[in-house]
Amino acid sequence: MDTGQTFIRPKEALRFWSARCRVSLAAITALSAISALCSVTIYALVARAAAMVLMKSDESGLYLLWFALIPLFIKFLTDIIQSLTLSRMSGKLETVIRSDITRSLIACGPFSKNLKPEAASFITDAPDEIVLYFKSYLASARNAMAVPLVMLGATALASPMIGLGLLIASPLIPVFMVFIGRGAEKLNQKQWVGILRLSAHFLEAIRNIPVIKIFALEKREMALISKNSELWRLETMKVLKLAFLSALALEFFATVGVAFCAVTLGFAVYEHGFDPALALFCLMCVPEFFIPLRQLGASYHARMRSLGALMGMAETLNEGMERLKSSIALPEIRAISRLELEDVSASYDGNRKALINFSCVFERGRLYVLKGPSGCGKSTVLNLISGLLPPAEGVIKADTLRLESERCRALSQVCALIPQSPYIFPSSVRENLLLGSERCDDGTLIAALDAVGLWELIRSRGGLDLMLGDRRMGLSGGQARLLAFSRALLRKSPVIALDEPTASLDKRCEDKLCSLMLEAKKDAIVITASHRPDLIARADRVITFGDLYE
Amino acid sequence: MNEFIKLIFKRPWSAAAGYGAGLLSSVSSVALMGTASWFIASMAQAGAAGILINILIPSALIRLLAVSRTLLRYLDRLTLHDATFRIIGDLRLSLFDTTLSLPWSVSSTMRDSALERTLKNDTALLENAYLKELAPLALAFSCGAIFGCVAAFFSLRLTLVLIALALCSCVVIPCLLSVSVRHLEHKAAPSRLKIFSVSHDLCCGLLDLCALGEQDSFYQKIRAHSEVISSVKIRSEFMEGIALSLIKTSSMGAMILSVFLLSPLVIRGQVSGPVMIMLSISSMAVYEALIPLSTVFFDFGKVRMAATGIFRLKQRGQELSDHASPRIDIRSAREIAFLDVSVSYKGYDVFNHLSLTFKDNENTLVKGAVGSGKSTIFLLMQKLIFPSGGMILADTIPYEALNSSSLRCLMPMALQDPQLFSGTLRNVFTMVRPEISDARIKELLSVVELDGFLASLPHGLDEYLGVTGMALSGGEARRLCIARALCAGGNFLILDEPGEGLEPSQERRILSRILSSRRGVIISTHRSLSVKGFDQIVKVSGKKAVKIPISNSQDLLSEPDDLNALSDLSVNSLQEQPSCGIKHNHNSQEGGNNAEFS
Repeated sequence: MDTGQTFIRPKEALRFWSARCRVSLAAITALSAISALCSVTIYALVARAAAMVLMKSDESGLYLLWFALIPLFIKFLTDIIQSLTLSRMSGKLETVIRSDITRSLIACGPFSKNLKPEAASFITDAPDEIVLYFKSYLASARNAMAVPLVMLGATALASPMIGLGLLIASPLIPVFMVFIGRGAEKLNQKQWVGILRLSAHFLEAIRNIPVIKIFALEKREMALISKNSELWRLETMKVLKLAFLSALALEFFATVGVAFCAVTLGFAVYEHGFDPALALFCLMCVPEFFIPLRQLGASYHARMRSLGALMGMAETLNEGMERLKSSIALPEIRAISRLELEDVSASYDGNRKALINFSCVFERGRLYVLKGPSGCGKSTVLNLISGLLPPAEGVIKADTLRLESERCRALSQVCALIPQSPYIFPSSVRENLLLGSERCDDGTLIAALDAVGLWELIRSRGGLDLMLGDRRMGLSGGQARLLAFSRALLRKSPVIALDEPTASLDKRCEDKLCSLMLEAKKDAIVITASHRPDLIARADRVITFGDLYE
Repeated sequence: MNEFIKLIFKRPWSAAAGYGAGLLSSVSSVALMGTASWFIASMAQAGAAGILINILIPSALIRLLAVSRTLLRYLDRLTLHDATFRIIGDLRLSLFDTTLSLPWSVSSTMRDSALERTLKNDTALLENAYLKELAPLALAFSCGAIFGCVAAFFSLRLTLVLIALALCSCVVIPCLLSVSVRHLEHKAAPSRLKIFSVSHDLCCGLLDLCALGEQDSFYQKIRAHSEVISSVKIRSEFMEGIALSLIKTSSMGAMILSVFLLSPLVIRGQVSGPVMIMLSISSMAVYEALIPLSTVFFDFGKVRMAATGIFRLKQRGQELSDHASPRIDIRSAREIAFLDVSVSYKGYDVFNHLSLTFKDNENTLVKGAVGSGKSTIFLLMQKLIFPSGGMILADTIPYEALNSSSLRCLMPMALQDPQLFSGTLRNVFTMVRPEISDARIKELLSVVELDGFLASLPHGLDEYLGVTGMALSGGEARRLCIARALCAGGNFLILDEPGEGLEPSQERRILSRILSSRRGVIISTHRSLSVKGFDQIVKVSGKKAVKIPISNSQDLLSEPDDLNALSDLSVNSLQEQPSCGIKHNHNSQEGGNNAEFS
């Protein structure tokens, strides 16, 4: 995996991502300034020409309009370049953000609480929200720095009084924004959490449709979703009301500003003989002064949304980034003939110990069976051995190599784990089998399937191209386990760990699997957790958990 | 697309209020600039009709317009957003209802992530479409029309030129630009879909992926899809940017053109100076309402795809609704009979001419090899799948005439794969039977030997179970589902492979308790089951599902203990396991009661 930067808190993530767009943002600022200067020129020319027609009925000023076409064209070009810069910046950033989020999720590991199926939306939807921070907020902020300054300068030159008025008005706007913005952050976070809640609920309901039908829970589910949906709508409206309220304030100032200018200028022209051209020029510039500030206000709420989305993922990102930071180079292990666990303890969530002070030796050429009631730690031992769960205490020795805590992850190179409920990917049988091993030709795949006794069934249903659906649709639980077993066999690993492999299998398949395991143990260490008496009878060593674990 | 528009009419008043407020607000905005410029210009010309008309009224009007504009804008946005959320909220609910009412044979073929995408993302896209496109489109055209009428009053030529300019820059060119991007969107469409399914697979299957060392390749897949989507986004956003720049440029162009075209008229005295100023500056101000047109055409493709997906789902629901009326409700049934039932699945036959009866005063064991179709029988009983031939009757009433929900209430089932909702432990039971008491829950938990588990929970029955809370092991989840089915209560109780993942002795104890406490229990298994209490044993077998299996056979036994009467069966005794530190409770060890079915 490519190691990009790692950071700990989500806001630091924003800072890191911002650093990548520094150049683009600088370019955007410069281009905004140029565009504003062009607008100012156009307004000046048009105001002068119109005033000449107005006051002196003089058509001669119309040549100025032709001149105005030049800055118009330049403005068009700068706007296009600006949008190109912005779109490239946000496109690249979206990919980077998505990759970073995916890496964190993977680093959290399969036993993390943060890895729920809803977390998929962190990868698909969250980057779009977060990129708004940069695309909308930061870009508007830069715009708001350049354009109003230019407009202020221009109006001050034309009419110092109006310039002064604008100068006084301008600080009010950011003050308002921040004032209203404080309340918005919490609301936005609640809203994002609301979306996640809705999403989780949908997914759960979709997955549990059979149970919903069997227990006639349709009405209840509809009521729940309706309630959640309504709650989310209310939360969203709360957020929006706040956003619109702040926009109202900004627009009020802006509009009042224009009105104030108009009335003042009108009287100035009437009473003090103020140059109408300058007056018209000011009238055209003043709205342009306020527009970027209003856009900034609107985008401040995009900022809030992005932060809300980021905070909603905070735990996941934190955990993932912590792990990435502490990830170390793993030793390479090729072959292994002796595996020893010394005083190993492990827990899944840091609190409840799933395994305490377990010691055992596993040697090549032997079949080991872990026996005990459900929930006593058999699966934990298998997870430890396969390198998926680093031990909290203790040492695992692979031949002569001592591995403790994170270094134990290296064991996944040599161990093939078949979990209790293997995940069958919704793609073809061939794709599923090829996961985790090098390219094999179809013949090898068929042989592997035949060895576990699945080939006949799969051949009748369409062969290697048979598409499997969600939740291993098309295969029964036992058949899925057999598929996972043949997948593991293809990897030719020195250690094979099986969690309850013969559950949901009939006697014939169970016997087949047993003989396969006995065959496999010749070249490997085979460790399995099971209740089945036949397997226990054929084991070289049985480790009983009732005694060891309290 | 008509459906799309029809949705608005579900809440016509909110939509109209939003549109009205928006229109007034935009018109005020343009009028503000127009009046302001007219004011200055006429001040400059001085000596016009009088203080009231020339000074007080315009300045007051300006202030009024300023206030009304902002207030109306606020109201417009609130009502528009509220109306949209309500409309889309209704749509989301009805989509969910449709999904729930689809027959299971159809919904099981749809991918989870695809369904979720339709329910969540596509509806959100539609929401955006109403807010950012439909409403602004209506407003833009209305505003433009109003301004056009006003301008036409003064100079028809100007109006025509301005309309041409506006159409060109706001409609024609954005349209052309969006068409140029459309083929790119097609290229990105598969990546957009795939990224949903790959992310979903990553999150659900991370354990397997890590075990297989494939997590990196999935990361690369997601990255690749992301890059495709981004590159297309860059192009299309750039095109949108060009459209926007063009509109901004033509706003200034409109102003320049107005001055240019009206000046001769002013000099000739056909139009007054202040009016020229007013029209020029207003024509620039109108473009504020036209700016949204730059994005409308670009999102069109995406919105259409989202809407099509949504309405296709709705259509399927209407065609295949499970809730078609009128159907009879059934309160109880003594007997479920299968008459000559044939079922096929994806082109191959599972059963041919199956005849079977389940009575609610009998306990039945359904025995068969893995994949032989036991679960299919249960799915048929639950009316989740339908037979291709033959009939199923509940107390002589055919299944077609019965209401599915009332039928399913008669036969709660614990599925082969335990499925639980996240919630508290108590919720598991109150979902099915809201009035259940804690004492009864504890009773049920002890039947399935989960009382020790309950004692270990820090919050007891209020402990939150689920992905974010306490996780259950496979065996615990299975037993909880059995308890849930037990509490639902009905004439029948179906347990599909209840003993999987449980130690044989534990399975024996739990099943004996259940069988001795009630009748109408139907249990399926493929292994040996040494439990007394069955009144009927059904054997399901056929050839492997390679060729078309011929038929299943059924054997009705009157004496459950006389197993030697069954053909092609052999009886072994079950080897007892050595003690492993847990408490045993042997209850069925007399003689050779253990049956080993081959």
